[in-house]
Amino acid sequence: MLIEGQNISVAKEAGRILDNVSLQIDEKDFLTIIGPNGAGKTMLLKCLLGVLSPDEGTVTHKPGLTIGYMPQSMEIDPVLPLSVKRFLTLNMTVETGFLDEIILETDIGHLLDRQMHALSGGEIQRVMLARALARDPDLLILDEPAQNLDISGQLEFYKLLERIYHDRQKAILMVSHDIHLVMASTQRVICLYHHVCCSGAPQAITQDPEFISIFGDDLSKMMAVYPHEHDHDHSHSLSHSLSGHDHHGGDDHS
Amino acid sequence: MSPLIAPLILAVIAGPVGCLIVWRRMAYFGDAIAHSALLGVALGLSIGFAPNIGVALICGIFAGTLVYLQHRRKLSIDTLLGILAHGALALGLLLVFWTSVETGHTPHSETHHPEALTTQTAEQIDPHVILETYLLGSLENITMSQNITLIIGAIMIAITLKLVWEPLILMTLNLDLARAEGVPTLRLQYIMMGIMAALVVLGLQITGVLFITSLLIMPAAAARQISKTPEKMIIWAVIFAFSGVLAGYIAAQQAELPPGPTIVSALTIIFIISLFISVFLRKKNPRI
Repeated sequence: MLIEGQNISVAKEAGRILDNVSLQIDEKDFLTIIGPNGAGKTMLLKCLLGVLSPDEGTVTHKPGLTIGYMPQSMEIDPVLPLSVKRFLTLNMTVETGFLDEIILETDIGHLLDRQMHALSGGEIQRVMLARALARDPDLLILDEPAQNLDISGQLEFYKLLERIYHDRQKAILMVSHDIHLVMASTQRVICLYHHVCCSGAPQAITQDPEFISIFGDDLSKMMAVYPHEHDHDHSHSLSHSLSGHDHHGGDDHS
Repeated sequence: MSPLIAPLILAVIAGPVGCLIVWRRMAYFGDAIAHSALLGVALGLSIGFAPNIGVALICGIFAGTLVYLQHRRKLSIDTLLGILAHGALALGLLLVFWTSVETGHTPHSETHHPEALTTQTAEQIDPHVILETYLLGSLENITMSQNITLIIGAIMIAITLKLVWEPLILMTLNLDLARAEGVPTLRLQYIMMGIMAALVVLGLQITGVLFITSLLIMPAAAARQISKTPEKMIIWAVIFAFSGVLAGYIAAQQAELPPGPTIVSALTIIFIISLFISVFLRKKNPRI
């Protein structure tokens, strides 16, 4: 167990944002939280991170747990001059060899001397991911990491994430709107609308009446078109990329 | 001791603090704290202790209140700041006039605060003199003990900044990221407010309530035009603050003007020049 959240509730003036949410993240987990806007997804992540303490319920971290966090929509204020290189090691020390490896993996080598505020959406996301990885975390927590990317950028980002999940054996907890893209790579899905509506394997969840009641019949039917394979060992199922025929790295591992 | 020492020390420490204020968008906070300082002066005069103790007290309370209000608000923060700043300024002004009318003189400050920056004497009771001194700054000779207080204060601020520098920058970049990585963000916010309040107290007599924020943000804003790293921006801010204060203070001495407006006029000219330089630099290298 890396993080366990029990009966988390958060209330704001508008009402209950989170209502009695419980979930557990284990080692090598790949858990995706989906849900409509305003469902409390970001709030839940912040509670699990320990950034926000819930009104009710508890969050327990494994002792010594290191989390790499990528916040939602990273807007960089141009008033602060800061290079990518400097940002990567800001307020932490990273061994040079390890950092170089991460820079290579996230393909940001050509960005190092650029100013943070001059990066494009996709570049920022890769730099943020690199910083999260540089902490050598047990768990990556990502809040809508592909939000501001175009479709090919999204595909690329999720591919990178899958590769990291495989090669580095990190657990991943992610909030995402890109249900259709995420379904193929994730192991478990939680559908959140203030409370946990349903949870389970990606394919199963799209058949769940609660899922259909929130996202509608159309999406559920659409999801059925995407090829999923969940009938075998977890470490394998993830090496199938979205299109189903583009194999890479991970297969050789197990 | 040269009368220029105190203003120049103030300029050096205004560089880094000003950069942080510009990065963290705290200019309004600085103004609110500075305006509250006049209330501190007035309280000091009316109750009978050195105005700078009153200023330190009121500014400290104000700074704390601002951090607190930032976290629970129905009104937007700029509205709250406007209310607090001008409420305190109005109250301070009234109190200055009221004190001079009521007592006809200002009680001598007691000597059990040897570090007190100013000791008001009976000939300074004219409310207009007091207001000119504290709103626009004063050229009055700065005593040895005031210089020492300023030096110690500046060193303490510099050490504090050095200790919290990297987490502060991270927090400026993204609050949630900093929190998630274990940066004690609330504590740092209080530290920042404390530093700003301390600077207001230290600089009050030199630039006056109305101009202390400009001394902080103008050099930093000019420095941003030509810097690519946080540290270079600070170095330039220090250079600009130093030049502006030097030019402004000497001009004030020559023409017998209040130093606050002359210093800030000099800084405005520096800022405008930096804009031109930045346009020129951007033509050569568009990535600054």
